[in-house]
Amino acid sequence: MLLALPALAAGLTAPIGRPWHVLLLLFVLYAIITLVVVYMLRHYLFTVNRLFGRQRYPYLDVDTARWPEITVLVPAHNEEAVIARMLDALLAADYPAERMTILPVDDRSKDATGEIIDDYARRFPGRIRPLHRREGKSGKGAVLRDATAHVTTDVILVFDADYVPGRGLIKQLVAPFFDPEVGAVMGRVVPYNVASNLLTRLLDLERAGGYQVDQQARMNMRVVPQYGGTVGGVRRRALEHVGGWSDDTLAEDTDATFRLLNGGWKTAYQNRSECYEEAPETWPGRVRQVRRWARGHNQTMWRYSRGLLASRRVSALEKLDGQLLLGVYMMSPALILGWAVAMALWYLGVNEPGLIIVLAVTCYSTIGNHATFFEVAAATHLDGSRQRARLIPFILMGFLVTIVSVTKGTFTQVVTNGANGDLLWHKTERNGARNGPNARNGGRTP
Amino acid sequence: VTLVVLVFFAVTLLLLLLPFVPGLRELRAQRDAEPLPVSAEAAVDIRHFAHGFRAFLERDLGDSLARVRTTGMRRSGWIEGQGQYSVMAAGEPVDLFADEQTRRLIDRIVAGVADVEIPAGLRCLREIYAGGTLRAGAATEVRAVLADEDIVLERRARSVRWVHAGRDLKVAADSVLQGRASAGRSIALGAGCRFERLHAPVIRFGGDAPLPRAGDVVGAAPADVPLIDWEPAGLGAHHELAAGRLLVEGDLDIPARARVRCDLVVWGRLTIGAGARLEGSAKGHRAMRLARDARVDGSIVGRDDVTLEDGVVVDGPVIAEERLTIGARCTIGTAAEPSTVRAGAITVRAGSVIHGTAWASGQGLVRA
Repeated sequence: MLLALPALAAGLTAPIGRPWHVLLLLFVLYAIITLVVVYMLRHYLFTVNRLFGRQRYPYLDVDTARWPEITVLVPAHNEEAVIARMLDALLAADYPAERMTILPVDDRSKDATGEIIDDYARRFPGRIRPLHRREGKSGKGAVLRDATAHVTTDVILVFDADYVPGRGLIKQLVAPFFDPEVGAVMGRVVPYNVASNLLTRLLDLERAGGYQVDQQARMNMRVVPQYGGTVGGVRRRALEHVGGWSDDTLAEDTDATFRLLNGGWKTAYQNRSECYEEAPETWPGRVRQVRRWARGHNQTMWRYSRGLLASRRVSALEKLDGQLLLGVYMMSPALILGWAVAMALWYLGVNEPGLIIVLAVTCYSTIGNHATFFEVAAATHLDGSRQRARLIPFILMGFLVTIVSVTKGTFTQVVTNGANGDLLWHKTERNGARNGPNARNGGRTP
Repeated sequence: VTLVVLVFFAVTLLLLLLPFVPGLRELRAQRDAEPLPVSAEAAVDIRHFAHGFRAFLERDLGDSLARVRTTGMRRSGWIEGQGQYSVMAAGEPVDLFADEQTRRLIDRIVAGVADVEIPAGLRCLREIYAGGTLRAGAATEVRAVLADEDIVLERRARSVRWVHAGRDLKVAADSVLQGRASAGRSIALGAGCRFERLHAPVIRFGGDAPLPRAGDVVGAAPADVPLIDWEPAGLGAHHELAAGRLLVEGDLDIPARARVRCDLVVWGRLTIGAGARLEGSAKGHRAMRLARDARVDGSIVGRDDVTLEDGVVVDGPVIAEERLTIGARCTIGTAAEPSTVRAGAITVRAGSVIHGTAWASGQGLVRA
């Protein structure tokens, strides 16, 4: 039967005058180019929306209210370099102290993280309630799942240990929860170690494009802003409604975003709720981070893509944007495949340069998580940071690293581990106080 | 041919590398390598500019103010980067130069150690400070005002950037408050006033209009008529009650005098009947209407227009992405737990009270 297929295809394609394998390659190439163009249009739409569209900040101005009781979770695995700075920042936050519990989670740390947390708990009794996790599954999802079992409040904020929240940030992140439709909130991540090297400068640009343009445009257009796992929070009863934190994924944040969405809960993005983070300073660290994101994101795609299409709680526009968001990390292998197919066709004597040009020009505009150059340009314009826009051509380097890393991560995931992938968590290396925000004007740690 | 090829490749390489040159220069010079400034307080704290001006007064005019208090003699001078200033003694009127008299315009910082009175019809292009009460005559225009005690703006006055009163801010009819207006104790706006952002423990709309008083039954059902617990029966398959939230895919009408014990998320129009009580929060994708004397313990969030009819009480924040209409005798927030009202445009009928913040990103208007 299988042996007959080429003959059948040859018979069908004979009138077109091209062999079946050429037609198959052309079909693949056209499909990839179509996807590439769709993603490119999406990015242009987001950029135009941010530059010229109506901007939505519905919760930004809520500065006075009966603030709810909240718990702030800070998962920490070997974070002795940064955890004290994080706890200091939370203790200085402008939020009623009696309504905010800080719950740092020492996740099997082998350094002094646990002792530092205990020291703070002794100095600030009632405000800091530490949790020492000595066993259980690895991964942030598992940590959050265990920690949430100790939470009694409905609003939970989550920060990574290397983040430095400003004084007003907690209220800004809590404000959207006054909307009973909001299940999760995400703020804007801003690297503070920008000047360290070329990589951190590129990541600064990438973050700017991703948050200032992509996320806010999604908020404006009422599609799918993404909960990013840091600088944000969830409504506990909403999360429990959709099954709680997933402890079998590498991207518990994306996983939560889509389960909440399918369950009729929205994620709100607060562009002006900015928080400093420490961006990776080495290329190997960056590669590991991107590969982890890719594998986790792809897990989410396999799990929730069909559910998203079937959900009655999601609008058609949200379904379209959600599917494109889920498929974003598949575009890297698709692009590499597209280039390979285009080359193969060229060697087979199929001279269709137009297709190759389209693919070459537009592919640079498509890698979703890797902010595209025009989005970065728009973001630097909106941020008023004009000089750093000069580095935009260097994004090409980050693009190449990303496309190869994501493709490798996806390939490894599919070939060796199946669609669900492995759960090995590669922790991002911290440099701590060496480049803390206090070192520069922008920092405001207490 | 070889030379042509070499030149071709050299030019191509040059054109390829050219876009990297500005970036390389930036990498070397590091002119824009600071982290983006994160300034949450400026966005949130309505008194941000007032605090800044007070810091300026203490830093640059502290000596002058102290000396005028001691000597009772006015002082004037020049501050580098800030321009001219005058410090007035207690009981002194604002002294106008001849050209200022003619043009009805004053372009210097004015600081008074006690009360300050701005003559009617004057435009003040710089900040004004009063150690006591500031009174601005009819049709004055002030840029920014800080008073330790009260601020009184007479009819058709206009503030351009911000005003902050340590105690009470009283604004007469048909005035305009652009930017921020705040007070330590209360704000009272007359009919016809327009505003953008207000903040005070008590904000009264309508000047002398009767206000809800403690003990009024505004928003609450009379004790002798019990509320009826409402259940989402008859909504068909297009709803879901889970996680303390009722999600309705169409319109929803809560009957009068009903009691609802969950949050509401309604994709269509939402009406909460007269005298009904919502012991939760409500979100509507289309128009929302809270009928007379309805009461909400939580918040109200509308993607479209929101209307609060007379006597409605909402304890939590009220957010409308389009227009918000607030009827007479409404109360939002409480003295103990102030709240926020935020909308694209806000219209408030005289006799309503907001405890906390009112922010119209477009314009707010007080109707008689």
